[in-house]
Amino acid sequence: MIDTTTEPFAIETRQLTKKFKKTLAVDHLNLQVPRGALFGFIGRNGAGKTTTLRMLAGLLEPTFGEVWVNGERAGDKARKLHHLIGYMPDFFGVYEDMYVWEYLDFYARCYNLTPARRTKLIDELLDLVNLSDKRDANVQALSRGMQQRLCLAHALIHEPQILLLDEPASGLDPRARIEMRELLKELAAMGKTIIVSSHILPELAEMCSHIGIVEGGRLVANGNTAEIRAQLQFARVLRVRILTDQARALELVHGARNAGKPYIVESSASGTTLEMDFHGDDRAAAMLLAEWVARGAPVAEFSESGNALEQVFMQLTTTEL
Amino acid sequence: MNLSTPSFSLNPLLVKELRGRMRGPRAFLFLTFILVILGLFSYGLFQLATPRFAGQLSDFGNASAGATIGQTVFVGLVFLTLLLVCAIAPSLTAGAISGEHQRKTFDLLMATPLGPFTILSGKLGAALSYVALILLAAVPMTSMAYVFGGVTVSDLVRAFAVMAGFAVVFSVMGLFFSALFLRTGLAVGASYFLVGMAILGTFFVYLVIGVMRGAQPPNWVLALNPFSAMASALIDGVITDPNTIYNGSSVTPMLYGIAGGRFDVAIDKQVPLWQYSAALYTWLTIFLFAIAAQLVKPVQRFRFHLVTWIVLALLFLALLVGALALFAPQVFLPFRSTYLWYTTSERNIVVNPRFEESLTTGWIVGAELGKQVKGSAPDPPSLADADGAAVLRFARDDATPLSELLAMQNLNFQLTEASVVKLGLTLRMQEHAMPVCGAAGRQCPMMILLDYTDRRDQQHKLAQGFFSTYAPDLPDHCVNCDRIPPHVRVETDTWLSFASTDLFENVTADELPRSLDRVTLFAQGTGFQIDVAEVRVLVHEGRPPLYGKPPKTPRWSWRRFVPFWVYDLVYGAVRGWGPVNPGGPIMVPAHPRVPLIPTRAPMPLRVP
Repeated sequence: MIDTTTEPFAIETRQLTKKFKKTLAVDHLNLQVPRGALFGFIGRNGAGKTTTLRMLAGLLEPTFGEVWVNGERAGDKARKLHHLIGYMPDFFGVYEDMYVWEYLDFYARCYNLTPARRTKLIDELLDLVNLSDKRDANVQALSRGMQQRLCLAHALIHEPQILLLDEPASGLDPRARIEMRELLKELAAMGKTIIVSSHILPELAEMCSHIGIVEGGRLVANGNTAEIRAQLQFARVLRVRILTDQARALELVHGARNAGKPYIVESSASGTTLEMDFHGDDRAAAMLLAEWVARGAPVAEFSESGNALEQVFMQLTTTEL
Repeated sequence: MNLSTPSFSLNPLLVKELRGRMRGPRAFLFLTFILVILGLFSYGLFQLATPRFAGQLSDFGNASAGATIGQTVFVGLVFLTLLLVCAIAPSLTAGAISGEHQRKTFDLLMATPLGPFTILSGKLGAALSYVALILLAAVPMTSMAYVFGGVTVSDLVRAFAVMAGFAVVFSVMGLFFSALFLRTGLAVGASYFLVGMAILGTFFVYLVIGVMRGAQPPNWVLALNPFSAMASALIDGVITDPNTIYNGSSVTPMLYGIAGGRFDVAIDKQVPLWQYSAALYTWLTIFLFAIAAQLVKPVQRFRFHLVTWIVLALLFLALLVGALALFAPQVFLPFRSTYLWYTTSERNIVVNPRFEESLTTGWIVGAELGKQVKGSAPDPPSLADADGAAVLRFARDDATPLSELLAMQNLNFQLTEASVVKLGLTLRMQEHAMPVCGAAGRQCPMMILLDYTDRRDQQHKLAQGFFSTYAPDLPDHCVNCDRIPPHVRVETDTWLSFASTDLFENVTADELPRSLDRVTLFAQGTGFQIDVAEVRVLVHEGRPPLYGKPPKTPRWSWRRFVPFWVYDLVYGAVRGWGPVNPGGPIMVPAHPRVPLIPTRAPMPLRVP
């Protein structure tokens, strides 16, 4: 039963994990997408976006973990899930010898829509994705951008509440990208929950209500866009190695300015490695180091952590296609 | 949610595939091409069949001539169409699932609520619709044979039913390989390989068996052959009905040849070959379809490990064996001794087999003069002592008149159908005057005879002869022994322990023994002295399998569908376990008292 006091998430994953042979594609992913959100799912190529989306669409079985859709566990009701979710894969093909309207008609039949409804929906959707004039064209003759839009239309044919769009803008020219973006905004305005993946942050940042950043199969950031922005602008992680035992090291770094609570990465009698959030510029960092050294701390290493959110963000934003 | 009200609707894939396939001129050009081939072929057949009857065609009184032409054209066309079906059907489905993968549309399809069954049946339906179109187009062509007669509607229906059946079988095969390999080329190749094996491979095996045995091979070898099935189905029809005028047309022998003759089982319960084919292929098709359905499941497509393959192969083998056990149990007859489930241990049913007690226990001995001989009969065989062991001695010197000595024991032993019977004899020939079986091969120095009654209450005698002296100019057997099995040569003055293999290994179910009546030792000839130390009729009883049921059991009794071991378990539980024969087993002494009895192969014949 759906609890009416706390509205369930449209999509929620719990410890979702997928292992292919030896590579861990998705690593205990806990994702929460509220209803009506336009969720930007960002990560590098190979970060596990497609695998996650395929698991959400019920096309791939998780090695471990669960997917919850509208407060119900997926997997038990695969058929029902298919009616709730519209899925558009990153790479897809089209059938040969098929007209545009037949293409949509085929998928409409797959969802067992009545003939009257089929006709009506096909017209509406073609209008929505701006392909009305291509109604009787051969599917294979469409341009890449048109095929993308047609595929989006196919994902909408059963009027799903949730849309999973895997890199809908990839391979499109700038103009087509803008069109696709407008289309997504339009769909979001219709109240649908949309999860759209991309490897380019700015592309999504401005239109998404929520953002999740995935790296190496793990979620490194998840929240609404404003929060993420705030985090990304200031967040740094300092990595400090002090040549003392754990208790002494914690005592030394205690009360450092601009720094968050430190956590131990590695500890032994001869030295302790710590990581701590740090909100400050390089100057502030230099002052912090000087202060510790003045207090007699044997600091052996003082650097920014490689796992820092900032770094991930840099990778994301600099990797074009 | 937008679940529209459930209503009857066509399989979406069927609609899509048919739309795609029938679009444009391609499909109809292909159809035309096939019809042209069929047309040319039938015209050729007509030309071939006509000249022999050219003078008679105008003669309305000679229906047979026209019928033969009609049948030739009809059968030829049917076989060609069947070949086309075998070639087209797998290629239509071989790209069904692999094509979706290669076109990258599979994920889109999997994201819809369509289940594996809907997807497969849609693809299958589309392929079969196309085959149906071809077959429907071919019907008028074959019906041209009506002009000449000799073919009935029943034949037409049979022929097209068989073709439709094989269209389904081979389409599913293509579908299976498509789902398995996910590559169209590989799927087509694998399907064609199997179709080729079914058509040519089975014929090849059939011929090889024939050549090796030098006799008619068992026709169940051809059960997987589509052409044999077709021939068998047509044989069933009026074409070869001996009661019609058409019998004896030139087509008939060809059909019998392809179907592997009409030697299905016993004449009274002949099961046509196509019924075996139907059973086997039904299983195969269901099996392949089920696996294909597993393979197109979106999330649980099982990656096949080696173990899975082995399990599947074993499962398939089990199904095959099960189907054979149900429909063609006689296949297993040659292997009975290996798969029998024995209910008793092997034991000797001869009483007093080592002559440890007096001959009054079990044995009847006698001596008989030759028919045209006068004088007093020699002494019957009697107990003697040889090397410290009791033996039964058969002795006659040249001075006594020509006569036969015998020792006989009535067994009256009722057998279950599944029993292994072996004969054994431990003997020594100290003297054997005439070579082999005496003059003109009429006098066997020593024979062991087993009288038995088979399941049809026919009486039989099984004989095994022994000799010691050999002459190359004489036959190696006597008329009494009827050639089989060959005589065994015993070296003079040496103990030989003879043991036969299962006596009934190669007989049909009806020729299996119902009771063992009598065992006789039989010595004949001019001069001999033979010591017999032990006589063995070894019986190893198994549970009764179903195939040997007396004919009063109805042919489609439910028992046919119960695996024999289940039946036997129930039967055994009801009847109680234990020896099948009342009277109890007869124990064989553990320590043989006859010393130095090597069991060895009969000596090779040496030409002096």
